[in-house]
Amino acid sequence: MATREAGKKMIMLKSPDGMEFEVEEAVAMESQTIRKMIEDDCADTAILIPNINSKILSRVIEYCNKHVPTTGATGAAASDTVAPAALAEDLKIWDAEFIKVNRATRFDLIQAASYLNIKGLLDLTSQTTIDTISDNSLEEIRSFLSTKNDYLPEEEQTIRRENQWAFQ
Amino acid sequence: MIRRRATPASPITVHPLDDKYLLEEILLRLPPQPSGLPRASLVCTRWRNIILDPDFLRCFRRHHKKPPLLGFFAGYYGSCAVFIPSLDAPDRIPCTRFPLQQNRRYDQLNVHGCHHGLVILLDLYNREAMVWDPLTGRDHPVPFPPGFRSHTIGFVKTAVVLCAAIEDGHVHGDCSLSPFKVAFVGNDVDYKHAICSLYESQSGVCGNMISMANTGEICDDPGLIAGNSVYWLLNEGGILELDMGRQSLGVIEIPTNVHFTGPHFFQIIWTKDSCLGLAILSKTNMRMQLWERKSKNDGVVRWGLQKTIQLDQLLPPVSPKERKRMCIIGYDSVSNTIVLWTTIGASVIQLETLELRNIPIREGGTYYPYTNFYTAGLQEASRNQKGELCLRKGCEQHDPELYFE
Repeated sequence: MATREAGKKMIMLKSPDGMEFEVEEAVAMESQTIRKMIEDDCADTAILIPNINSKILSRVIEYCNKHVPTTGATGAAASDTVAPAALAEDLKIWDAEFIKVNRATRFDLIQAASYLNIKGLLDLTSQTTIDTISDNSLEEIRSFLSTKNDYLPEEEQTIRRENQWAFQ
Repeated sequence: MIRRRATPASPITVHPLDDKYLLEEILLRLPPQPSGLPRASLVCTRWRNIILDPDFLRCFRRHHKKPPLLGFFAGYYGSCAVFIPSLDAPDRIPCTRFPLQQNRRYDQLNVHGCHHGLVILLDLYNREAMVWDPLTGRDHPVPFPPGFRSHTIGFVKTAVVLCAAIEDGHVHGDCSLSPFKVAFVGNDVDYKHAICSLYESQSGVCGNMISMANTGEICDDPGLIAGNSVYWLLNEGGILELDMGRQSLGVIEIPTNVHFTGPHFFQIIWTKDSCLGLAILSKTNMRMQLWERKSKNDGVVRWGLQKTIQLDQLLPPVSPKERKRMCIIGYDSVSNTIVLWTTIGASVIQLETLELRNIPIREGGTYYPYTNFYTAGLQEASRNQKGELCLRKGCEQHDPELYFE
């Protein structure tokens, strides 16, 4: 239920496994999907986030909490007191720690970021997936992502030959 | 984010790699270097089908914004535009991937510049230009503007080509089918006036001749395109600016306390603050000064020295005799890299990070940096009714190097 706490508007997010998370509206609105619900006045009661379990939803909220433009105790925007470059560097370090999760959790985060439409989180999770595989061989990539090679041997040969230089 | 679904899909119902939208999101973050897409396309046919989709490729370019520097085009004896790759394996595209069509039209042509993935070649004898897309092999002849063709008004010294696509979301790198512009620049017969004319492929006509008096001779070095302007060095030490929007010419003086020593030692650059700049090579001091032209607090635009690069600390030691041969042979404004001719070949220096890369080359001359996303080698594959993989006819390019292995 939308409530007020210390002058800040709060929003209740519910996961399908019954957990409830009370978050600031500004934090919840990091998700464009939730923002639209709020703006369309569909968020008077608690918002049920379908199929995102409490473990993943809490991580998503943790991400949004860190990335929401914050205001300090004096009410001044944090970016007024901290240099933007230092703030960006701090976020980068935080992101790098945040994404140190196992593969299954990262894929769950990708799906959650996509559904909730949180661009920064989708960037972070997708880019990390690509970075993880970019130095690997094709066999390693297939094995890592549990993807089956459905090329016929001669097809694979043909495609390799097209851009032989790229496989050296 | 690329193509949003009309309504968000219910999450966590399928594995992200089995969801086409999410797989696209992941794949468009593949590195922009040339080997990224061909390698990934071989993981499985689903990946390949996504990577070959023109919409995906458009999103890929939009995501990365800046195309990588693939190498250089240079004129060598016997060929008017040879590709010299600058990347290491597996991103090293062989020169045979960008063959000119075996066509007599190229006999008299010389490369004069590259921009937006297009190359401009000029035939000063037959007074014709050729705009060439090395990725697809397509070319488009452009006759010199009438006043230049008849030599009644003057002579073409050089020209630049640029993509003229204005549709929303167009990212340069797939400009081969887009309309383009060519800005011809030259002098009158007395080398006193600068003359320009702008050709637009969409209308197929050249605009009016624009001229400016008392500029002196234009250097035939490649022009620098930035925003809506093109800049060329003048032999007497100024910078000629063509404003393509206003269709006007102007001259910008070089810094007052700088002596112009010629186009081999002066290079117009575009700084990271989006300002016009100059890189000035001093062989005797083994240094390069970077100047920037920007407005200060008083609103007056003036030159200021930004940085001095000590080349003797960057390059391998050279003897005084070898030092005499040093000169600037190319510049790429997209990656902000300058190319110096040194005794070890071409030294490519990124002007902000000072990262150095040496390319062994056979001879000097001008090197025209070629930046683009390499998507041409990806052939459209489809399976026929029997489920066999077919390659689209007409796109196949035989790589002569393969036959010598």
